[in-house]
Amino acid sequence: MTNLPSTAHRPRVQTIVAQVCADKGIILRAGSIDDEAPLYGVNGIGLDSLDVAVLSSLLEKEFGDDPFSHGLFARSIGEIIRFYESAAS
Amino acid sequence: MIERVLQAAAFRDAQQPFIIDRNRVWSYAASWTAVRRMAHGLMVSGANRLVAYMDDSAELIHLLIAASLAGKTILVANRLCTAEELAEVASNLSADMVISPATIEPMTTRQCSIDAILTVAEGTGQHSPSDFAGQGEVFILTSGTTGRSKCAAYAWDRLMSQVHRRADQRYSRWLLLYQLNHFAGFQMVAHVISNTACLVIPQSLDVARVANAIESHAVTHASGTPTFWRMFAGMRRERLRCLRQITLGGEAATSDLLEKLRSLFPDASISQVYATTELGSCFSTSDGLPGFPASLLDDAARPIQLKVIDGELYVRSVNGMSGYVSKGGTDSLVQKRADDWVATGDLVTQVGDRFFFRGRVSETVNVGGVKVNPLEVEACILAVDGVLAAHVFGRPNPVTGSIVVAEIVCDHDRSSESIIAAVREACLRSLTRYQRPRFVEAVPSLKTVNRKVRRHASTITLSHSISAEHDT
Repeated sequence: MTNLPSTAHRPRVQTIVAQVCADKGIILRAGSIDDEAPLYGVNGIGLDSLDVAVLSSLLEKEFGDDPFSHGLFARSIGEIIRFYESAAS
Repeated sequence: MIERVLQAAAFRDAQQPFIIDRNRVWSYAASWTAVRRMAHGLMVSGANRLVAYMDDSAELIHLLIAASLAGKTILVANRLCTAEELAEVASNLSADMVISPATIEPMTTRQCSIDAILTVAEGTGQHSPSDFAGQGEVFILTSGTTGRSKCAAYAWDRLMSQVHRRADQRYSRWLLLYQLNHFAGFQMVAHVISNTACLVIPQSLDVARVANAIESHAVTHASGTPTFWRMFAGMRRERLRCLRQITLGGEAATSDLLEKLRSLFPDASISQVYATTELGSCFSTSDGLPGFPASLLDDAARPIQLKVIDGELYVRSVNGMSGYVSKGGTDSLVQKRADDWVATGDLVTQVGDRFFFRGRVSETVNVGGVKVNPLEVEACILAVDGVLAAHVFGRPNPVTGSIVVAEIVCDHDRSSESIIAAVREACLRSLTRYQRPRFVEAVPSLKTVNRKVRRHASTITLSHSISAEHDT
C-alpha cells in the first residue's frame, strides 16, 4: 500500500466518493462531503452494494489496498480515511 | 485413411496444387512422394508415438499424413510452449520421439529432425505400400481458453468423416487461419484434401500479410475465429473480391461483425461452424444471423443431436474423439460413448425461433448474486464504432464477489479516450447496472489462444505484451 502522510488521504478519498456518486447521477463536490455522513441509506449519501463494490475497487486502484478487502465495511468517509491513516502510521 | 485420399488425388490430379507455403507450391503428386519417403523413415526409426514441434508448413502436413501411413500416433505441440512444457507433454504421452528442426534442452525423449528421418529413409531399402500399417491416430490438445488443455484422441477416419465433399469446392483455395496443433487446423487439412483443394499457409496472421496471401494466391475460401475476423475487418479498409466463402468458428459471432464482413467481402457467402475438439463438427449455419435456428433441436434424425438443459447446450454426436488421453498413454484412454449427451459449457437463450450464444458456464460473472454473461456485454461494446475487440470478465471484489470489467482494443487511428467514453454511453443505454463494466481499459491487443480470446479472469493491471497474432 502507498505510504502517504495522513493529510493526503482525505482529498483523494473525497474525490473517489464523489466519482462513485457522479456515476449514479448524484453530483457532489469533492471536499464538501461531511466525513461522518453515512455512505448508505436515505439519510446518507445513498450508496448501495454495487456502488460500494465500485468504491472498494477505485480505492484499491488508488491506494493499492482498500478497507473492504480487510473485512472493514466502512460506513463513512471518515472510517475510510482512518483505515488509511492507521495503515500509514 | 487420409493417406489413401492423398494417394488417390495424387494419381487422379497429380499436378493440382495441394499446399502453398513460404517455400514452394506442392502438388498432390509431389506431396505423396514426400509422404511416402517420410513414412518409410518413420518405420525405420521404430518410434510409435511422436510429438511434432515445428512451424505450420507443408513439411508438417506431410509428417502428419506420413505418421498415419506408417501407423504412428502423433501430436502437434504448440510452438510457443517452453522446452520444459514440451518435455512434460512428451513424458505424459509416453512419446518415444520428438520431431523438431532444432535440439531442445532439457528433453529426455529421443529427438529427431525431419531431415534426419529423410536421410534414414534414403539409406535403407524402400517399403512397399503393403508394408505400411496405416490407421495412424492423432492426439489433439483442446484450446484451453478457459483453463488447462486436455488431450483428445482421434482416428483420421473420424476426422475425415466430418468433412463434406462438395463439387463447388473442388480445386478451391483455402487460407489456413488456424494453427495445425488444434482441432480446427486438422479439420482444415481434412477438408482441403477431401475436396482436392489447395491450402495456402500465410507467413503470419498479420492483417497485411493475410490480405497479401489472399490476393497473391487467389484464395477463394477462408475460415477463422470471430476474434481474427474482427481484427481483420477493423484494420482492412479495401474490399477483397476474390473470396467466395468466409467461415467463422470457435467463438460466437455477433451481428455487427457479420455485417462488417458482408460489407468487406461483398461477393462471399458467410457461414458459421459450431465445433469442439471433443465433439467434432456439430452444425453450421449460413443465414448470416448470429446463433442458430431452434429447428435444429427438433431433428432427431440428424447424426448430431442438440438439446438445451437449464440454458446450457448439450450435444450427442456420432463423430468426435475416441476419448481423452490421460497421463500414461493409450492404456489410460478414457473412452467416449457415442450415445452420451455431452454438456458443451455453452449457454444459450431462445428468442423466438432462434438460439443465441450467451457465453460459457465457466465465464459467468456473479455480481452480488446477479449472473452476468460476458458475451452479452461484449456484444454491446463491440457495436460501438472504433472498437476492434473486447474481452469482458469478472474481477474479484470483496463486496459483491465480482464486478464486471472490460478490456478493449481500439482503432489505432482514433482516440481511445473518446472510444471508451462512447463505450460507457452505450453500456449505460443498453445494459443493467450489474452488467455494466465498472472499468474499461484500452489495451494494444487481447491475449489469445488459437486465435480465440483467452477466457479467464485477469486483473486490470495485466501487462499486455502478447499481440493478437501470437497465441499462447
